[in-house]
Amino acid sequence: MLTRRAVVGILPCIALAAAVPARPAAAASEHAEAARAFLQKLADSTIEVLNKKDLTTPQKVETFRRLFADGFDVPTIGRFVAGRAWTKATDPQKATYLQVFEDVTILTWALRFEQYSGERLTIDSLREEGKAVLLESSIVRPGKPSIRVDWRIEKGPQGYKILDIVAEGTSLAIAQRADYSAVIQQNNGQFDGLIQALKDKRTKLRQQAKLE
Amino acid sequence: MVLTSAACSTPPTDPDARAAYDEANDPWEDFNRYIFEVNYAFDQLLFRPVAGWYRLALPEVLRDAIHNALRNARSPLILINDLLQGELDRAGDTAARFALNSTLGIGGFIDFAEDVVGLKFHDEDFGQTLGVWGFQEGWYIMLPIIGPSNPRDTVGLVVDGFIDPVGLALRFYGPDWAPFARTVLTALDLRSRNIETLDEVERTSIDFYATVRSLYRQRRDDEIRNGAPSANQGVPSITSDPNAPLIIVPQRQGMAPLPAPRLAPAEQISLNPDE
Repeated sequence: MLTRRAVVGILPCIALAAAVPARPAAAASEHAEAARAFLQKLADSTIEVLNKKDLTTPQKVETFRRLFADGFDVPTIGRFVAGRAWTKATDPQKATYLQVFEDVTILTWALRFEQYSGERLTIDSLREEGKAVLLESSIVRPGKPSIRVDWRIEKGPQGYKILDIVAEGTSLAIAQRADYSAVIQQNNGQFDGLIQALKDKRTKLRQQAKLE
Repeated sequence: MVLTSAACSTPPTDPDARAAYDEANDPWEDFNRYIFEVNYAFDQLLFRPVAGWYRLALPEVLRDAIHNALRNARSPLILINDLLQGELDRAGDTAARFALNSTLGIGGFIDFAEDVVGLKFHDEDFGQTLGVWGFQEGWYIMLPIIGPSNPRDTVGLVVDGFIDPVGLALRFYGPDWAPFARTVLTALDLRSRNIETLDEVERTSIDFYATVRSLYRQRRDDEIRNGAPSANQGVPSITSDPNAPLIIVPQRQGMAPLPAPRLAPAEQISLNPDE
């Protein structure tokens, strides 16, 4: 049964589909529409922060920490990219790892955004895959070809969260999982080897961000 | 097919390590890592700086014009591969682009087809064609200078060299230096457009080699599907479901089972492919 909210939710999608004739209009559920609204809001708040030129780097990192904690399902991503080592890790190891992983990811994004120069996010289409909503978007860059980016979003107890970002067909989570799995292998299968490597990375990134 | 080589790693026996080994699909890892280091040194000492100078020396308008011309000269090869893949719509796009850009685009220096008509460029190569035909990637290899590849894409690269109409025309009818000049310009164009991207991957990864390996495989897989969605090959999709498996036996999507080059000692060779 179509509720009024669902009908209202479908309207922007129809408008969107009409604006992009090359893509077939996907029947977007209320669920998918809510995921779209969530991502658009997150992108808007991020760009708002990026446009505040007077923020110091520590202030920016702090703001990103809040945005990131809100927007991303850090425990799930951390668990996934840790790969098989996760199943054997002790609880203290898991806790330390997730903390360092979050720090490294936030610093990485904060530094990445230093190069921000007016990019915008347009959401092109929505697709559901099991529990997940996949949003296809374009990062529109002034004077450069746009980048195709897919977002994997799921609804959890704390609302919508991003699980993965797929840029031009390459999944960040899968690449990171390959990276971490190689690090664990090089450390004779020791999860602590990865934790130490991440701590070293954190120190390096903090220096680059001039936090140390 | 079984290759035996003392220089190559044998699959580990521990199940976790074995699963990681299969996911990496890189039985020549030690050797590949060595080539990667050599390539990296060459890149940092020569290619990256020269690409940087290229970007400084030439104005963007001129670099874009060269970029357009190189793409246009590649169009006949792309068209052949579009056709070999049975992609008639895309073949039509490529043919129309080539016709428009070679004439109204003044020999390809202006991308008239995209700027005015809205026909976007897409790339194809014979490695992708082989992928569409159902050939497996094989296993990961690091080629000297060229970089990440696999047997399928290496064969593709060689075949492209033989069937590229513009390449053949330059070789037989052009000046002696023409094919070389085209290769150098193509390399400069490619490297100068990827300076920041590669630096970023190196900066953000811990194991640069393993990250590049994953990115290469994912990117090729996406190119073969022309960007269409698919389950990720050999890797479970990330999900918040705590009961979801963390281990999935690599099963490449929609293709024949992997004719894996098991680099095993002779006594481990078995006729049973499941072993």
